[in-house]
Formats: sequence, structure tokens, C-alpha cells
Amino acid sequence: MRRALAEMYLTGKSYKLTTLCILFIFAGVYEFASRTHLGGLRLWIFFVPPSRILATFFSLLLDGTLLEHAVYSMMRVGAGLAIGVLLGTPLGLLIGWSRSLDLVIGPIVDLVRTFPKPALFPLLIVISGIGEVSKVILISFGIFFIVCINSIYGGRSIDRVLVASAKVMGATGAQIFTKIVIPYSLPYVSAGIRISLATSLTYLTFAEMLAAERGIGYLVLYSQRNYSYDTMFVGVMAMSLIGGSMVFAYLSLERRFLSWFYAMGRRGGDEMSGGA
Amino acid sequence: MGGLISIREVTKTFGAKTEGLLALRAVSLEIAQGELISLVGPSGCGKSTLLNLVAGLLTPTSGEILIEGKRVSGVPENIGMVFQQYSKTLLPWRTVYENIGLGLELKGMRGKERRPIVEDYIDFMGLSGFERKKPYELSGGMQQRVALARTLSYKPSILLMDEPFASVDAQTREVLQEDILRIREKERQTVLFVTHDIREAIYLGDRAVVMSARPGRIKGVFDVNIRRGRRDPAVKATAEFNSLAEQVWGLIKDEVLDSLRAKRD
Amino acid sequence: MGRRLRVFLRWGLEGRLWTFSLIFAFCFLWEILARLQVGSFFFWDFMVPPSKSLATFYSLLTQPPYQEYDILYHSGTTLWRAGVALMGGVLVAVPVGFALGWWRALDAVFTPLFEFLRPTPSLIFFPILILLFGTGSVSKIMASLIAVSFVMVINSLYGVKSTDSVLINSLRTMGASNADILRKAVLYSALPHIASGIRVSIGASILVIVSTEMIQGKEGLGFVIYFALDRLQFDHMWSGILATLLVGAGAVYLWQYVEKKVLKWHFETTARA
Repeated sequence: MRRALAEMYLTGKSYKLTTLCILFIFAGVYEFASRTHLGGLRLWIFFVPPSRILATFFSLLLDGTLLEHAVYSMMRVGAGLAIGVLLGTPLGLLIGWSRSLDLVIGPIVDLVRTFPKPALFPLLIVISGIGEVSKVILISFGIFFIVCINSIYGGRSIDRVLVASAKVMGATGAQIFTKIVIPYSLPYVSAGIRISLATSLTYLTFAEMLAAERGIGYLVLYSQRNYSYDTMFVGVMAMSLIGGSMVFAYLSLERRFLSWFYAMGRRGGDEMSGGA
Repeated sequence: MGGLISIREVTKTFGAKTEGLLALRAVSLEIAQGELISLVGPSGCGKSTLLNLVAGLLTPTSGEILIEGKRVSGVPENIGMVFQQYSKTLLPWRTVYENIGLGLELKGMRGKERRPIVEDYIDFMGLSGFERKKPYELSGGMQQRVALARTLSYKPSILLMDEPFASVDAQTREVLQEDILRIREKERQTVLFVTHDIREAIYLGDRAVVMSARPGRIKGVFDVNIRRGRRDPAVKATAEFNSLAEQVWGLIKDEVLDSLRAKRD
Repeated sequence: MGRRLRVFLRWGLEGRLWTFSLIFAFCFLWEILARLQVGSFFFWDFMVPPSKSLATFYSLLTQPPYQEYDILYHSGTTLWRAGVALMGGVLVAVPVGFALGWWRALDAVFTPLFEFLRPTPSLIFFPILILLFGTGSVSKIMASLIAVSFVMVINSLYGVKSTDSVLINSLRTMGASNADILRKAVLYSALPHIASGIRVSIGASILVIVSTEMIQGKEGLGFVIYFALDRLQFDHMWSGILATLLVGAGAVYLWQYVEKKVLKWHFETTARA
């Protein structure tokens, strides 16, 4: 099913036109409603017409402020993802692969996964200040567990029969790990990374709203508190675009390198989305 | 009871007309009422496709299928189908009793009316004592029996069986084969039985239809009737049986080798 | 006596004993290091020894000095907010997911849009929601509802689509109508996916609620943690963190327990498959 979604998402058959039409209709209705303050609702004070949102978007883009905030956000996310993935993947694979480690440490990883990690952010601020470090650590921490869990699934999924036949051929533990475990668990690891993309944005937004002076999350909250609703919506739009394109780009990459996986007919856990 | 099936020049292509997969090519077959036709052939020859076409789950690209003179479009009335993957056809959240009752339930029969029929078939298929169990608690053979009981409960006049015993161990298979014959003794349904096991096809069938490798067409039809209407497993050891098996095998052997080389898709 | 020992050993060998020992050893180490003030002096001001935090936790439970530290009250607040968001999300999203899963046309048109918006963190909408619903519970619940909905739509969609085609075919041969198939097969087939979606949503919901409570608010566990930080009362902060851990983990484990009971048929079938 993941493959079907990815196919549709990336190639988009003839229904793509309908989707675009629906988007335009929606935008049109929104534009009309917000300009005429449809129903006299108070919310039209805040809900800026899409034309103005777009105008503000481009003006902020051109004068560089949007880029500045975006760059800060992206760097934090990038660093957090890198650290989380680099630490989480090997550890997760090892845990999933070794039955004893899995039994002992598995429940701990599970437990921490259920814990809302933003609760630790104030502590992080105290330890490392309100600079970049605390934010990156929070993001890494969150990502680490998701990638770890998915890598654990990957490690677990290795067919013991396959390993047995390799052992019979005289493969050492290290060879088994590099030639069997890693390639076979790659789809799971990849799924973990894909999910982390979305989750990292959640932690990023949170950290930026709580303690930052730059970044898209900060931009949105700050503009709300200062009644600049145009900017607020631009920020929301920017974050949507960033999130959507990140996942889109990653799916394309995945499709290119992991096509063998989809052909085999297996599925990479799509429902394991721990993000918000 | 009515069960005359007429398959006329049926061709089935999957996907686009020109570059799609040609599964069946101009297959024609007449099945008389009350006959048990075994359909044998190498893997991928389209025998399951043919069965699905008769069941109305697929439509032919060209040609037609008639049941009692009426063209098949959609699932026809009074048909029963048994699949190879029995575990996927039983509802795992229902007990054996509730599963068997499903056929009648779908036809609108009330619980009270269903009970005697369901209990009758539980008994007939040797499932007594397992009524309250869930499918996963049963062995493969027993699960297939539940599927059979369910199919029989609403007394279809035509039975379509798609390699029903392929996923069952060899010993249980023999038992289930006898079950099929018992069923036909009770009510003489018209049966289209697909299998890759030549001996099974000859033992059960009144006629054995042999299909070629993909694209499937009928290679030969054998008048079997080896059992002469009796249930007699010992007949499998006779010379007549074996010579028939040899003949059928001779017909398919090359096709089987061909299909081994074909790419799996 | 011998039998009890054997049962205990088997439980231990299953790893649980080791897991708990590991956790306990970790806390023990923390305690020792904190008491000895190893390394940086100030670090242990924030990394309060667990025993002290536990004592504070207990006292806050039984005798909170003032409303802001009434942990029980705030836990309840966070919980009911997350609960409402969860229920609302399920009620809204599951039918939508079903519709998308059942009608391929809807799926083809709307799912791409949906998939593009899914990575967007629901927190980014929080400021808009504050404008619409004020700074109280409602805006937080709404933010969480958005998050839950995205998860649940995908899971219900997948649940519907994953209904085995062999099952559907066999039902059709018995004369089942589309409505029959939906009611008698698809619904049940989708249930495990919906349940797993709820499990994920519980975590997500609590996460969003706690996060929003930290950003803006006067109640809830998120607020308590931030409040304690503001006053540099770290043992209180750790009590809040502990409460959050208990609430979060407790809810998820409770659900997993319910899941196993209600969906016994699913776990058994997939285990033996």
C-alpha cells in the first residue's frame, strides 16, 4: 500500500487534474469568503485572503527574511536528523538483531518512545542554554527513538533461515551483519527516516515556539502575538511546503534506490507514525 | 438442479489489449449437469483465471460463458466457490459455527432457521466439537472443511474449487478428497475442480481437462470415470489408473518444463 | 516454594528482570553521582537525585502547596484534553479514512493532497487556533485533534485497503452485496489497523497537548514543568516530568492491554501465519 501511495503521489495519474481543480475551487471560495467577510464571522479578521498571503510570501522571500528563518529551521532539522539517524540506526539494528538485547533493552526503548519528549526541553534549555544546541539535541532525541524502533523492526525481520544457510557456508558474524542484516533491514530503516522527517518538524516547531529568535516556528508565533496575520499564514504555508517537499524528495529517493523492495511485495511500516 | 456450464471461445487478457498478459486463448468447454470436471495444467496456465471467469469475478475479453443458457455477468446465482487459501476466506473473528452460517446469513436467513442447517453440515463435515473454536485454532485441513461446509450450506448447484487441497498436507488431502466424493453422493452438484495434481484429477473427475501452459488453451480431454461412481481409494493403485496418469503426464510434461522457465509475475 | 522460584526465574530470563535491573541501576548511578556532586557542581542542581524528586513528587500528589503544583489536577487536565482530542479525531477521521479506502476515485483525488499536508506539524497551526479559540483548552485540543486525525485517516484507509481480496471474492461468490462486504468483512479487517492507529494517536495526542501547554497556558503538565523551571525548582520540574512519563506510558500500555483482549483473533492469526 505504501508503494501504491508513493506511486500515486509521485506520478499522479489523470486524477491529478481533478485534485488541482479542487485546490483552485477551495482557494477561490476562501478568497471570496475572506474578502466579503462571509457570515460576518469574527474569524475573517484573522483569516487573510490567499492573494495577500501569496503576495506577502513573495515579498518576504525576496527581501530575505523568510529565507533567513527557513535556513535556521532547516539547519536545526538537518543536524537533528543526522545525529538521530547516525546514532539510532546501528543501535536499533543491533538490538533488533540480538535476541537478548532485544528482550532487555527493547522495553526500555518502547517506554521512552511513549514519553512526550518536549517535556525534557526545559531541562535541555537549562543545561545548554537557549541557543541552537538545546534545539538540535531535542530533535535528535526525538528522531533517535523513531529511527531506533524502526531499525529494531528491521533487525528483527531478518529471516533466521537465511542466516542459517549463510552460517553453513561459513560466514562470520561480521559478514552476516554487513552482507545480510544491513541490506535486508534497509527498507525498515528507510521507513524510520521517512517518518522522522515529519516528526523532526514537530520538535523543531515546538522548540522554536518556546525559545528562539529565528526560525519558521518562531515566525508564526511571533507574528500571531504581534497581530501580523499575513506573516503568520506565510509561516504556516512555508512549513507546509517544507514538510511536503522533504517527504516528496525522500520518497523519490527511496523509490529509486529501494525499488527492489517494493517489487518483492513487502511493506515498510507506514502506520508507525509517532509524529504529530 | 440445473448446472449446465457452457464456455465458448473464451479469451482473457489482463491489462492493455496489445501488450497485456494473455492468460487464456480461445478456451471452449461444455460441462453437463452433475459432472465433476477436473482441470489440470502446469502453474500459471490460467486454470484459476478460468474458474474466476465462470464465477463472474472476472469478465472475458472475448467469448462468453453461459450457465443454464444465461450469460454470466457478475456473480451468478447459486454458485459456491472454495479457494486454495482457506484461511483468507474464513472470518478470523467469528467462530466455526458463525463462519459456516455466513452463507445463509448473506442470503437473508434468520439465526433460528440457520441453526438446523448449520448443525447438519457441521456433523456432515466432521466438525462436531469445534463449533465454538476460532479458525486459527484449527488445522489446515479442518479449516478447509469449514470453508466447504459454509459453501455447501446454501446448496449451490455449481461448485467451483480452485486448488482447494494444494495448501494441505498429503495425508489430509486424501481425507478431503473422500469428503468431496461424499458431498457429491449427497447432492449431485456440478463441479469444476482445478488442481495441479494429476492423480487427484483422475481420481475425482468424471472427465479430466488438460490445459497447456500460458496462454492457456485446452490440450486434451480425457474421459476418466475410473471409480465408476464409487468411493474407492484403492483404485489409485490399479494399472488402468496409472496408465491414464501416464497419458495425462505425457501431454503436459513439456508444458510444465516450459512454465518452469517462464518468469514469475 | 520451588515452583515459585522457577516461575520467577523464567520471568527473569525473559528479560524483564534484566530490564528492571538496568533501569534501577541507572537511577542508582544517578543518585550516587548526584549526591557526590561528581564533576560540575551546578549540573547536579538540575539533575536532582531521583530520591529527592520522588519525595517531592509524593508530597505534591498528597499535599500540593498551591494550585499550580497540584500534580493530580494538572495530570487530569492533560489527560482529559488528550482524551477529547483523541475521541474527536477518531470520530472525524475514521469515516473519512473509510471513504477514501473504499471509493478509489476519492482516494485518487484527495489522498495526494492529504499526503502532502501530512508532514506539516500540527503545532504550526497552534497560533491560528489560539486566535480562533482562545488561550484555554479548546485551542490545544484542536491542535491535537489535527494531529490525531492525520494519523487515523491513514490508518483507516490502510485498514480498508488491506482487506484480503480473497476474502472479498469468496464473499461475493456467496452473493454478498457491497454493503454486506463492508459490514461483515471490511470493518473487522480494518479494526487492527484502527487500533494501532489509536495507539500511536494516544502518544501523539499527549505530545501535542503537553507541547501546547508549555507554549501557552496556565494548566496541565506541560505548564507545570515550565512553571517549575521558571522558579528554578528542579525537583518540582522532575516531578512533573515523572508525572508526564506515567501518564504517557500508562495510557499507551493500558490501550495495548485492551487491544490484546479485544483483538485476540487478530494477534493469534498473525502469530500463526
